[in-house]
Amino acid sequence: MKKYWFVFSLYWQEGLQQRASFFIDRFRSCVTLISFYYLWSALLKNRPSFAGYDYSQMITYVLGMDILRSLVFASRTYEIAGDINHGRLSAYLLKPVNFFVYTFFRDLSEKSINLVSAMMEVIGLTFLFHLKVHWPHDPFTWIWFLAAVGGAIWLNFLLNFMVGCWGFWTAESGGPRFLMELFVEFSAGAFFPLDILSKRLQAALQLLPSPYLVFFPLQIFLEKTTRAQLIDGLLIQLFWMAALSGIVYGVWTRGLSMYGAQGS
Amino acid sequence: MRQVLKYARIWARLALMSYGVQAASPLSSFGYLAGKLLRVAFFLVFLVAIFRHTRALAGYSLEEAALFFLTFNLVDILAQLFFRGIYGIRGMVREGDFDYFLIQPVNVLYRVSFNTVDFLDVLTVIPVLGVTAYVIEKIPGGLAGHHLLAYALLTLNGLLIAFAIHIAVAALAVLTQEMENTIWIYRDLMTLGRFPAAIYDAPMRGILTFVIPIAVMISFPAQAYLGKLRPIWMWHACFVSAASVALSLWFWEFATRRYTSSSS
Amino acid sequence: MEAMEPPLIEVRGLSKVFKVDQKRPGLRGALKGLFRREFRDVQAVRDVSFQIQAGELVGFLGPNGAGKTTTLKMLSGLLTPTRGEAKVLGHVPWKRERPFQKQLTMVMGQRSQLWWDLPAWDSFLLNKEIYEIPKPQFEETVHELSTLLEIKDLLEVPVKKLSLGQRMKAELACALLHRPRVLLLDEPTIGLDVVMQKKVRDFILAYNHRWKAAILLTSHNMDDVSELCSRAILINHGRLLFDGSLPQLQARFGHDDLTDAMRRAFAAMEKEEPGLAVP
Repeated sequence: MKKYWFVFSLYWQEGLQQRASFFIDRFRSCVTLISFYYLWSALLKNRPSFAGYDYSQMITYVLGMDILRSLVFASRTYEIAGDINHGRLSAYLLKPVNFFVYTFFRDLSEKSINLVSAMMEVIGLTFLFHLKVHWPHDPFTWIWFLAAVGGAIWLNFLLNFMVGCWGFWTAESGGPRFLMELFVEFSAGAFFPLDILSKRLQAALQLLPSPYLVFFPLQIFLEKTTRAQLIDGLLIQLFWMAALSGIVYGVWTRGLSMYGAQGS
Repeated sequence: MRQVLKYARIWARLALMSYGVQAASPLSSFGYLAGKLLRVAFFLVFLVAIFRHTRALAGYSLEEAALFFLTFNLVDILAQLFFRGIYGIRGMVREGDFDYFLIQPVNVLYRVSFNTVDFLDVLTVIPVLGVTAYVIEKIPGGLAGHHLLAYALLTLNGLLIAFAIHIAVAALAVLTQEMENTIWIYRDLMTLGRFPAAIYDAPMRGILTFVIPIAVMISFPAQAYLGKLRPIWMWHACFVSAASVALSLWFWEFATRRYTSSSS
Repeated sequence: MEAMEPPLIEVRGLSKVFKVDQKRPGLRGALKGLFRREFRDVQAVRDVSFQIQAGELVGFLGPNGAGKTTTLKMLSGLLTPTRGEAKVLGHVPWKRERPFQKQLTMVMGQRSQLWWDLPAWDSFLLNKEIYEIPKPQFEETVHELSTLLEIKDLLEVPVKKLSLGQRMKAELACALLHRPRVLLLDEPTIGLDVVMQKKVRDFILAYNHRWKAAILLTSHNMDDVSELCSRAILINHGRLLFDGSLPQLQARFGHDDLTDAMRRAFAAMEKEEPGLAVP
């Protein structure tokens, strides 16, 4: 176990070395934060609520978006496909390290750096614009919220890992990955709350795992879910976690046997 | 004249070669193309969803707001189409291609900018132009000829500013040889122009007009079409583009000079 | 000696000093590196002077870090010197004037100007436009070079599918399409097997005879030097140690074996023996 924490600290160091690209990633988050702050402020300036959100709730959603994006989406799984295509995977397989766990810790490292930064940005923005955050009234909400976030992190990690495994089948997984990430981001509610969309669109999206990445946890936080909806949602998250775990396991074993057979 | 022909032929050759490289990885290309188009489509879905709950955004109707967004896309995609090569400049410096460019009898900036011509951008700009035409036609008031001209000219002007920004970024990459993703700062800042500048408060609008002229690049053309831009601002736009092009070219010369006195 | 014409390459008192960034290891070093950077001076080339005539094949020898590549870069216009003068083909290289660039070529060891995913032929066509080579001359040159290098059948194959040796040959062809009068070759045989090295050497000799180009090549490889060069310039720690023919080098450092002669020359330099430079 200690070796995985070493991995964690190694990538922390590396992250600091790559200071330029890290700052630029955070810069992007800040710009998104700012532009959406202004958008919703303009829309909610002269009205008490918009699609069921008052100003404080909407702002909280925007801030929550930023934090959850760093937690759920920040990842280095894009390196997996490259590792596979360039034969670097062999080095990992030879070491006394479980590649899956290793990748997860690598991602954790990335997520934690981003989380720290996201929190600073959110706090900064709150003070700068004197924002009123909508805190949960019920202390238990925090527990449900964190549970949902934990599920979201794991879910997205599985999704990303699966996409990384596409590297077993093609050297061109970059394009499809880009497409997938975009689609997931949009359908996760990472740009705007999904309930401003039409009922039909919402229903369609609920069939996917992605709304449970950002939208669902934030709904919990804003206390916009009923007890029943909360339980249902968590169960669906669990379902997707199980389903994706199975799929990832299958894809990984299949891909690995192909990888070995080719002698890369 | 002979020089113009020479540079035209070089561009044609580079474009053909870039196409050859892209054609070699069709899956990836498809993924990126689909992703880009999806991104535009998603945002339009978002806009439509917003207008299900409100009549106006900062005083603009749905079609008008869409025009701002589409102008953003036009400037963004056209800039990428022409200056795509600059995104790869750090790789060129690292791999040694940049050194070859310096030794060869072609303008280095030209060679760098056009080293990659992304045909996906051509494929993306066509539907965007189509939707823009559709939206323009829907805006009440009909197609006022001189408004349309102002729109076209100011969009071109915005493209010139984008040109200057790309050159400055290229110069920075040559100078520091470390800034991997500077161009992304520009891309991220540009996203502030997705919405009409009117949603921003006065200080922010000032920044976007005088400091980082994104409003000039994107909002101005749309405002001009809607007849909401005073002539003095059009002069401002011209001044900004002239000044930024001049400054960035000077910066490029400076960076190249520095590079040739210290590359090791 | 034939040449009554002015030398193609003239170098006088060329010097180059670099400022090198100090990177520090460990996490603390990385954090410190975020805020402050340190530099130190490195003298890569020190007061180097020589002349090269058309048709000469000169070997530029020295260990790693001796200043060979730096000197070559200055002659190509890629680098501006800290002090000193140079004239190549009558031009000051670092002004990078077009007429000068059209008559020069530089091949940098492992770095390639060929496009990886495409056949070499495509990269040839690009250079044709860049160097403004007229079509008939282009076709003739491609024919000659590809015959000499035995790569005629390989031109339509994507470069990534070629072996290292074949790639190097295609690289050379691409670099010479415009029939330059000055060739600067930085480690042209590095990484190649013995058979391929010989082929490349034969080609360089053939090119030299055919077009009377001035060729300056750097190498670690003694065989490159002994088989190709009529003249050797030894450089170490940025300073020019020796400039003369190979027999002279052997005579001076008194050995039958060229490698040993060179080793003695460098050893003498380490001991700071005076009067080493020109015989």
